[in-house]
Amino acid sequence: MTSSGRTSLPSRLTAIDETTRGDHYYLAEADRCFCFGEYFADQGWGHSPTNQLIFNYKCKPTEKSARLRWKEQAIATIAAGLKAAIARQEVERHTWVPIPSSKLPDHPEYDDRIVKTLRRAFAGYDVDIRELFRQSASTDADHGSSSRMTPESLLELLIVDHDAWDRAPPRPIILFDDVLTTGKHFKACERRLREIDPAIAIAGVFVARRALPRRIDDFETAALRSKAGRP
Amino acid sequence: MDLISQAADLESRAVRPARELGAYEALWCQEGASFKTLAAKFRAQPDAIPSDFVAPAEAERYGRAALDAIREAGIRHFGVRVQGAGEYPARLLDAEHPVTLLYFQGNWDITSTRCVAIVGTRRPSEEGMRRAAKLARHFVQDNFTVVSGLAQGIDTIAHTTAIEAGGRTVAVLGTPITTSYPPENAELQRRIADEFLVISQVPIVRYSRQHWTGNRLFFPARNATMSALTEATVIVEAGNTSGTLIQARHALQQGRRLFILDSCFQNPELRWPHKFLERGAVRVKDYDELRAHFAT
Repeated sequence: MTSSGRTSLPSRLTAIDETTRGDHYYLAEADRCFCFGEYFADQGWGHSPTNQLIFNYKCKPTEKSARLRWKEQAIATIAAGLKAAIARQEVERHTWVPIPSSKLPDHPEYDDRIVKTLRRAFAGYDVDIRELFRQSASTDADHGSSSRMTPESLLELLIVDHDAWDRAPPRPIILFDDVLTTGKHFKACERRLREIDPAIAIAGVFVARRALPRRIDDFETAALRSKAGRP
Repeated sequence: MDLISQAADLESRAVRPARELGAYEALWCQEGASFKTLAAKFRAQPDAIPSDFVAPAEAERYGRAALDAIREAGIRHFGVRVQGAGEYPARLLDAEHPVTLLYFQGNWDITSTRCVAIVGTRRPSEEGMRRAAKLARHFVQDNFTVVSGLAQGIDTIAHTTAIEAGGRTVAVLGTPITTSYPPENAELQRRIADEFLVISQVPIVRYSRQHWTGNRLFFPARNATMSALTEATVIVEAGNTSGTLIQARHALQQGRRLFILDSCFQNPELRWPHKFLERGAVRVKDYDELRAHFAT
């Protein structure tokens, strides 16, 4: 089944706070992350309008053109949502950095939806959108509740484009991505940026955060703990 | 109106669930607060959220009190929905006094399935109990989610039958998520929270501070939310003074479908079935008739 999903985003972002942080294993209290909606890790129930929007948005560029039209519509919806929710002066006060695609530009599944969305959202503004990151190798996308790569191996793959950094002094940074899952990618990007500038302000904006269904919550947390070697 | 602040920067415009629930609790502890007065406040300021009306320290204080009560009740997983943000369902705005904030436990995704409310008296007849169970089983077979209010009688049968039949169920409480009523349904409430979805708009702090006579008003208020959340309400059995009739009134007012079982019409002492039929309710003999209505 394909449909547009939600056709508008809420007019306000929601901050990750103590009521939701438990769903995002790598986030700490000091991390400033915001999202519009919630993506429900698949359990075959309702396929919420936000799930449908994300599903369309993440549609691979290699898919059929009918599906890609839904993707274009999702990009338009998300761009309009960003523009409506964030005041122009706030947009222009920051440097917007896409969290990089899991595929390299020469890969057939390379997807530039994130940067495309930012450009569309803030067209006509004096906005600083910078692709500061790339991965040194293509990886499988991290979806739903699965987490295939450790933060360390992810960090190894993550390369900062120093030319892009040096082009102009970055303003406070907003890392932008579609779904906040464990927070691993956000933390890896943050760490790389702090290696260059330990003091720069960094926040994350996401279309949706992945809400863990109650039943698998404890299971995943336990699995992550054993992986990370934490108590 | 009494807006405290509305800043434009990304950080302060963002909804913080813990802050908002604190502000909601604080608003409820103000003199004369009701769903009606709160809804009026937000209708006058359509872009406002609870914390726009409450001093930060006060929101913080009430938030702590509510979060402590939640923790003390042994609840580890819960969330809130705030009007104007996140996954607050637009259809709740069809209510006469839309809720500004609600608490939930469980899997919110269930609200994206087709939901039907099965409601009725707390003291059903043998026949009424049998009919409620049969309906719940049929709705489950047709992949509907059975929504009810966790009260004694028809509500309890609707929930338990839906679970036994392998289906989904949602409980819309007339108490805070930290409390169970009737007490004998505490285990059922826990099970629905663990495996399905429990929703409550009832403020935790206010509920804990006032007498039963004030708190019982939360029960009919939740019926408006239950109706708004579902695409239809089915009344199995109800007396002339039953709280179920509150939901009937709200369903029609919200443009939701209201079905009344034929058996209700056969009791000569009942006036309400005819009254609601005149206002647009649908009289149904059995599930096949109901199913035909849902297919259109």
